[in-house]
Amino acid sequence: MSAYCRLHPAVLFCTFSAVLLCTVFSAHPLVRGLSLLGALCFAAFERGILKTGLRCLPFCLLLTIVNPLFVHEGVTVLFWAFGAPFTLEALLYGAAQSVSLLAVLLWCAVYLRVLPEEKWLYLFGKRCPRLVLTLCMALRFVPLLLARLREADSAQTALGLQASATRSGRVRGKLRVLSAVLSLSLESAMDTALSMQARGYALRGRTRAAVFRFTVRDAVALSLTGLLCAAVLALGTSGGHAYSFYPRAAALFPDAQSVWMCAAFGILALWPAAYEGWKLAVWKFCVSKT
Amino acid sequence: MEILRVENLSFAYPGAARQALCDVTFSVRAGEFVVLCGETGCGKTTLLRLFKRALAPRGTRRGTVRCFGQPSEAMSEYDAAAKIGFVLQDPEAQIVTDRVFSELAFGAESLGLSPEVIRRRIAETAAWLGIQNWLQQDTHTLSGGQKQLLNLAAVLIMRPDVLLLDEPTAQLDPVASSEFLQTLYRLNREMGLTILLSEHRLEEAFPLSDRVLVLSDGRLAWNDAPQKVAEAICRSPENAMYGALPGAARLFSLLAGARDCPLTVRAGKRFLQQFRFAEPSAAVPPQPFQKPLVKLRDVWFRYAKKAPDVLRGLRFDLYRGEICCILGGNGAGKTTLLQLLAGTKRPWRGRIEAPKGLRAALLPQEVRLLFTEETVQQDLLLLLEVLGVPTAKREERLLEAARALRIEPYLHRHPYDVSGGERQRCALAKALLTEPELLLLDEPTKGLDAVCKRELRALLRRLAAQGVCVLLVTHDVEFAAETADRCALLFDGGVIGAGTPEDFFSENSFYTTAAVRMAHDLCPRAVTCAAVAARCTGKADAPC
Repeated sequence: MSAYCRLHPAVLFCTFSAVLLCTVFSAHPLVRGLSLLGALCFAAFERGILKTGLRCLPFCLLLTIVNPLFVHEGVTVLFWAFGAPFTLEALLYGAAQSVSLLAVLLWCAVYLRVLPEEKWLYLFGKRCPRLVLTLCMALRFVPLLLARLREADSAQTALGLQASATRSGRVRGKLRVLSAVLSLSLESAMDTALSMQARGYALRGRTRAAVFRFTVRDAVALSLTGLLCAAVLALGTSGGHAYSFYPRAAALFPDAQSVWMCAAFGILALWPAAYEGWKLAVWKFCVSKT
Repeated sequence: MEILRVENLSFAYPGAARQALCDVTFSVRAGEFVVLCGETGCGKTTLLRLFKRALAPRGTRRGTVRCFGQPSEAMSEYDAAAKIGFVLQDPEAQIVTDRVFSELAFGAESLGLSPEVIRRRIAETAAWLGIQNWLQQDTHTLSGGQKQLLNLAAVLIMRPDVLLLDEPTAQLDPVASSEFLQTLYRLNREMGLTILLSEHRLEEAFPLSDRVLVLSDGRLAWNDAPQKVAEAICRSPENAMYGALPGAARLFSLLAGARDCPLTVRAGKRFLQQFRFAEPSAAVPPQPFQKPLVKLRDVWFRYAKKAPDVLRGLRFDLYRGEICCILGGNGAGKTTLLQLLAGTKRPWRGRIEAPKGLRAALLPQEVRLLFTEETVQQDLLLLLEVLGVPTAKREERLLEAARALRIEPYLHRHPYDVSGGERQRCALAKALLTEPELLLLDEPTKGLDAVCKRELRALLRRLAAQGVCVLLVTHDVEFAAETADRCALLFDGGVIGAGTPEDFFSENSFYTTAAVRMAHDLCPRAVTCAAVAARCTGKADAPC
């Protein structure tokens, strides 16, 4: 994942939005399938993400099966269940939806690694550094509050304040924990405010320290992404995107345009993984030479 | 050149009867390392905050405060932020952002410096302080000492000319606190940075300082070189600051030294050469066999499935009516042990044998997390209600507890409005309402001054006399030496070297009291300054 992360955040963001938008708004099953394939290939470089995907798999399978149970359109009947036809087209539609869902989940998981908060804030913070700072502070306080909640819960339990038999008593116990943590957090927020004041927070003309250089490589990647995205959109307007499953599954490639559209999207979805793999191969080659 | 100057400064908070500061006059010259000390509530924080306009409290002020020759009101906002650095007490509360890099950049960004300048300053400051490896870490993963060092670095990036620190080591363990003070010393000696430090831990701060200011009830009692101040305080042992002096100075006072008060262990050792000491009395015979209250046998514990074991095969006994101190470094598992004994966690292997229905009360490090109501009285009544005490008896129990811990004046105040030592007594009152047989205290001496520690010691002795088993977990070696009946070290997941304080501290060379470090060859098995002084039989060159 490390080579791809080195690109400029704007490039990463544009690629991410392009792939995500196409996956969500295009009904063509091959487009969705290629998106999932691209996400899987890229996630293969980072072990944790595939596990997340695996955990979502049962839900996706459920979605595939549930759709034919409720939607009975379609021509090819596989079998009769509960007095209603279980059609192939409905099954395929459910499958396409779950593929799209899984692809979106994987891409989001991948990009949470690739675009951490600071890069998001760098992209959108130039105009309003104070908003950026507020978001940074919010991110800092989340683990702190969670740690304090755990500590307060353990402390109050140890003193017997949560040993109530009734459910309302237990709820009140938990509310007391929350109240203690909020009071403490407000109190220490005053110290945080003092610390910020002491370091000149009230001064005008705040700048941002993060710096990302936009290199030739970034320009090439951005233009490639732009071209491919435009191609996918343009080639699909003739009907490739509005793929229909009912009453009969339409042909995957009714004309040459849809072939080019799928090809263009394929490159768009797979190039991050290909780039990462190429960089890894280059590194291994360099290491083997020394 | 005088960097800071205060003339006839008096200050009173709005609506307060007594003045927080009364006619204080002193100055700090460029390059000096000045230590400001005094008991809790003497006005140290108020004085430090008055130097910085952004932090100055509201109230009636008389007299002048000058920084860099001009009145502090006349300084521009930019100068006030950049030239005077301020580090507060709580390491956690001062951190603003989620990453170390952006925390370091915070101050410089406020000053409107360009990104290149900011990166360069961060690079050189981080390299000098030795924190360059943390730059991409999240701030919540740092330890307490690391956080305070980060706060110091964040202030240094703004290139201040004077550094004001308000009890920066109060929340840190001794190792981290000593490293922090050494870093300040380096800053002062290698960079010539003027430092005004308010401190309780005078054992290390006294020898580092050029001058000591002692505040007492808002007045400046002493303003002199550390040795002279120590000699003056030694001459009046009833002074509240006496207990805070370094061990060497207290020995000097107890042995009626005449001049050249020693401040460090090294000087104290040299000072003791001129005295003779009696042999240690025969070792106390082992106590008659007493059935332990709680037995820990082969206890193993870890926090997560893949995490390493924090406690490994721990074996320990606790007896009724004793005060037991567990010492150990950070992360050794002391808090975990307390939680296991309190019953909030269970060991995955081994057993804790305790009588059925053993009442254990645990006081955490952050005592404020126990308070949920508007006043202390309501809080105590709430606990009595949850415990199921009948309404008629609640007032009575509450007043009894309040009298025992002397917290009657605070019953109608908000728990956050009282000082640290008083709040701890209120929390202890809460714990004692449950009538525990086992009292577990997690770092009770954190942030307390010498007077509060003395009161805590007396309180714990009273509780032990009533038959309560008190288990303390602490870093404070001096407190453990004077209070405990038994001490032990938690290391590598197990308890090592449990024994009386005399046995425990005499065996250690490093993790031990100042008295042992100074007198272990001349006067073995004396772990407190008072014990050393008691065994003294006169000067070495005097005739027998």
